[in-house]
Amino acid sequence: MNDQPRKRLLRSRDDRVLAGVAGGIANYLDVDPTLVRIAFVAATLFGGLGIVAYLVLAIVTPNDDGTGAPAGDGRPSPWLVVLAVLAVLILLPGPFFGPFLLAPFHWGGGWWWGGSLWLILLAGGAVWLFLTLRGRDREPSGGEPGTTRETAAVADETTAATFEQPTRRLEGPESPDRGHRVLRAIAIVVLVCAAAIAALCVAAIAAWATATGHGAIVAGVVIAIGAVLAVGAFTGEARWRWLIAPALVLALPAGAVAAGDVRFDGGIGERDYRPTSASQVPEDGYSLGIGHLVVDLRGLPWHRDQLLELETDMGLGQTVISVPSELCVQANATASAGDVFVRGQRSSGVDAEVDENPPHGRAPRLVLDSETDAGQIVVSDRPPEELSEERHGFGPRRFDDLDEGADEERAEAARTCSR
Amino acid sequence: MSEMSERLDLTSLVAGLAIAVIGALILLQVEDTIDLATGWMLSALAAACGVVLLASGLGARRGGA
Repeated sequence: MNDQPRKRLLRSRDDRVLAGVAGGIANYLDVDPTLVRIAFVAATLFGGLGIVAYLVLAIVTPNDDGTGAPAGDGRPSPWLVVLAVLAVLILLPGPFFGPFLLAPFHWGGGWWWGGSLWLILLAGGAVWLFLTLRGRDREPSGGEPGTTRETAAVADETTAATFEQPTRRLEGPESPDRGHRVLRAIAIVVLVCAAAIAALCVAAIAAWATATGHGAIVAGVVIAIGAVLAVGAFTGEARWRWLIAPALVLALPAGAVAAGDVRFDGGIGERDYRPTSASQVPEDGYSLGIGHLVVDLRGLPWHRDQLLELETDMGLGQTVISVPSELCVQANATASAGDVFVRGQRSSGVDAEVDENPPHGRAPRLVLDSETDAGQIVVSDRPPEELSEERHGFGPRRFDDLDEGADEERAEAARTCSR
Repeated sequence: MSEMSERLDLTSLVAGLAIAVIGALILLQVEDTIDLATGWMLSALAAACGVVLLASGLGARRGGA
């Protein structure tokens, strides 16, 4: 009769910043909630684990109704389920999914976050959206809906069974707002999809404008929106908050393009250069805005002590440089985002770079300075056709066969340079 | 003074300042006044999003109390 009710892990109603998970854990463990939040942030720094753990806990842990008992029907919010599934799909490493599902974003590299930063941003934006919608839902009701329904259920029922399993009544056919909630959820999903498509279009326009030299205009608009928000804050009304979303939609792609120094002013398409003499190699090198650039140097007559300098500049796409096996390659190849593969040396992710400065011998030497804003740079002694075919994508298996012979190619390159 | 702080919308203020700073960074970058690496800029953008989220959460908590 007087048994103390077992303490349950619940999401805190009163001490919450996002979904009340940290507050609930702190209450359960009787520790300072700030410590739990710091632990989540720290865990997030290790590959996003904190985000996944938080969302999973937000799903499996029911809300506190304010009395230490679970509120509502104890079922997780559909929004949270969707967000958690997306977060798990997004944050787990690529090998869990094979080359297809997240192939365009598999830019792992040495810095784990380098490959997942965009995805974490997406997940963060989704969480923010969820919180915004939930806040709107709560405003008109003026209280905890779960508590109200529970009270009504208790008033209707006089048997003890109701107290033991009050939540079952909420799922019955007499629950009046179930259909309405489903319709509203469908409407919200449709609206969110439409907003997402619109946001993608605006983001693409912002990125394109920045890449074509109009970044100052985009930056000006972003600053103006920020100023309106900051000034509007002093009116005490939240009417300007909707500007946050378009500002971020503009700022994120423009910032990424500006930082990557992406420029689409070098033309678009396929470029194939196969010089047969050193004089045919332009002093300012080869450049392309978007597309596929091939430079095949195997047809050049190479001789001992020869030195050739080559520059390539790519905006978005793949640069393939084929060199003869007897050529020593001294390379500085960088990709703001993507992959760089230079004769067995590989770097992937954000700010990928291969800086190869082999010892000087008498072998002919290529001094290569190659840049790409987003995409791939491949330097190898294989024919361009082998390097280009099926390598336009960004899947995790794109360098598999090159990786297989990487050690031999690296060793051969070192031997060539020391001759 | 306290009336002003009560009328202040924390979320809008913090978001506005963060967005203005990001806008200024983008402007300086495209004008070649500064040269931020891609990783730094993306980190700054992520930090701005995080600040907005935090302000939103804290603002909702303060408003609900």
